[in-house]
Amino acid sequence: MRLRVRPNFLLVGFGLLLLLPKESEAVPQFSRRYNIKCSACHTIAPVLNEQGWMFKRLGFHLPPALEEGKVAALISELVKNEPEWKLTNNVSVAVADFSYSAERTTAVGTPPSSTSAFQVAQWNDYFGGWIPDTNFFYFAEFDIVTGGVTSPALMNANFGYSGGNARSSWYIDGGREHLQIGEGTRAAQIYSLLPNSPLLFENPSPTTFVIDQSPVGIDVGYTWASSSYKRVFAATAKVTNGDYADGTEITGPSNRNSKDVWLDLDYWYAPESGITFLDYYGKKDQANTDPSGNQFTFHPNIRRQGIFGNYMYDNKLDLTAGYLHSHDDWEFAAAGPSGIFLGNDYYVALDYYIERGVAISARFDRLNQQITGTGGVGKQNMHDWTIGASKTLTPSGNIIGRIAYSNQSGRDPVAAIKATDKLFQADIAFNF
Amino acid sequence: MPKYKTRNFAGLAMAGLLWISGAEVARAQFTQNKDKIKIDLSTYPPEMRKAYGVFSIRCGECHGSDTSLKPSFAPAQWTTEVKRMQAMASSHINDEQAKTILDFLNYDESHRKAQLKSTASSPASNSASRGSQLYAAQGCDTCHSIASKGGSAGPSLTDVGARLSRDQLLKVIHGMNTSDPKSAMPPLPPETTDQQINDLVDFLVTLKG
Repeated sequence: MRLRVRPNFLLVGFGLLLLLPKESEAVPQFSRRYNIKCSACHTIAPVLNEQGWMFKRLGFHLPPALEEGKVAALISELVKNEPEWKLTNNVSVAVADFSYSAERTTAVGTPPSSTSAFQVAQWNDYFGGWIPDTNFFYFAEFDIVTGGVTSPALMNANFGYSGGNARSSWYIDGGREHLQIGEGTRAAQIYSLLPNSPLLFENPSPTTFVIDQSPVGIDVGYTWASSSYKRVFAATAKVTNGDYADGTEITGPSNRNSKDVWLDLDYWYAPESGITFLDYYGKKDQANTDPSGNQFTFHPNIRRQGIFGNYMYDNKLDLTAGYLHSHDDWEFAAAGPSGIFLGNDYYVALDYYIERGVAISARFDRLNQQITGTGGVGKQNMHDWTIGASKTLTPSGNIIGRIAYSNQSGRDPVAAIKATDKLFQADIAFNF
Repeated sequence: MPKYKTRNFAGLAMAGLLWISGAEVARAQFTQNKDKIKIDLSTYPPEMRKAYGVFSIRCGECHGSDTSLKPSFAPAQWTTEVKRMQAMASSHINDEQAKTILDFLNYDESHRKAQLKSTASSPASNSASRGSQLYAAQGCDTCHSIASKGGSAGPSLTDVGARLSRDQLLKVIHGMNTSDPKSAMPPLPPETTDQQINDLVDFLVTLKG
């Protein structure tokens, strides 16, 4: 038995890549707060370095020096030494991306299509900071334009409290925020120097699950750092509402969907290298179509386990790699035969920083996917390679120019339809 | 007012508000990290020129060069500062680089900054203007602003003369010298004289907003 799927399944998948939410870009109000450059917290925005990552873990406070044999400052002491609260150091009004793209897509059974566009690809506003003289922090992201489409939406709105000291800290946070809130070390960060994230973060599975989503939930995190942040260990756990059957996020109370659980463990070792392990378990409604074209809903278990690592050599050459295993329940028809969706996806990437603010990058992605059972179409794969270059155009690093070319091809695991997508992008990212 | 006019007015008001707040944010972003201090490296010996290169690459990862070139510290204080920077996350400063940076900062202190200070303490200036020069020479404007000029890391001093009395200002400045390790405000150099502190206070009391 073979499941009938619309022939443009993959085209829809490619299109989704541009429309899905991206985790936060650079947030320039923080650099204004301390009068430091973007490169204090990013290698090149939006890729976070260890300091930027620690900044988030401490509840949006700049990690202080951790000198050997000295007592680490309490978070409540960091709060007291924060600069004056101002709107300009809590708001970013134009985190925007202006891009030119040219794309050619082909798929078996569909006429090839070529498109090109010059557009405002993205425009986000951010409101984030701390409540003066308290350990409370907040963060909100309002997306005005996403994927070239004006669709105002509050993508993140969360409120938290951080405690402990800079060496051993914890936080608790609730609201709508990115699923991968722990973010992980460099290789597990959803954004990269290239315009598109690794496929394993952004490619929706047949059960419409995608890591790049911002559900409502609550999370707790613990972070321990050695002197000079040479070793950092962190653990994060999160419980969320997850997704609806169509892949959209549940932002209110839900009856049908079980809570989703996310866990990640991170270990940084200086300079700028690290390992992340992540684990996700969820159960949710899933819409599907049987061989006769009838729509039905089932309730699959969804699991993801991944391991990600990077090694930064001489502060110049950054080798990153990631592996994600997927294991989802699958039904071919209502109360009919069942199967399992299995994925073994990975990517390998290389960023070479020619000098501060200038880098060239290359990445190879491969998704090995299969739906088992009598209706399955066997093992399929999709791969992508992307090359690109980035350059900061201002001393503070808040304007960045990028070009990239990617070539993606393969077959989807549901109908095994072959498709290819070639994409050239040139963009300028503004962070104000 | 007709409905469409109300909508137009609300739209215009919103656009105006966004424009004003956006302009302020853009101004803040453009003015930060804008370096004003220009060092004439041709007057520095070759090894110090080389050391300046290490200083500008390593310290320049996070700071504009003004942030590091404005403050004036004694050698022991610079040693403490550089050690502190080495212990920051993502600092990437190894021991050899730390020593080179320290050599440069101490050389800059004993030459360029010493010259600036001797100008600031010339008897030709009156007390408040000497204080103003000391304010600039010590790099207080790295963190503090007067009439929107200067840094934003510390409180604005635009109307500090209206908010605090002369005695209160004296107390604050003397308090700086207790060198609280957790305080973000660096102490004045130990060689700062009482006369110079008085000059600084005389300058600050003139700031009435």
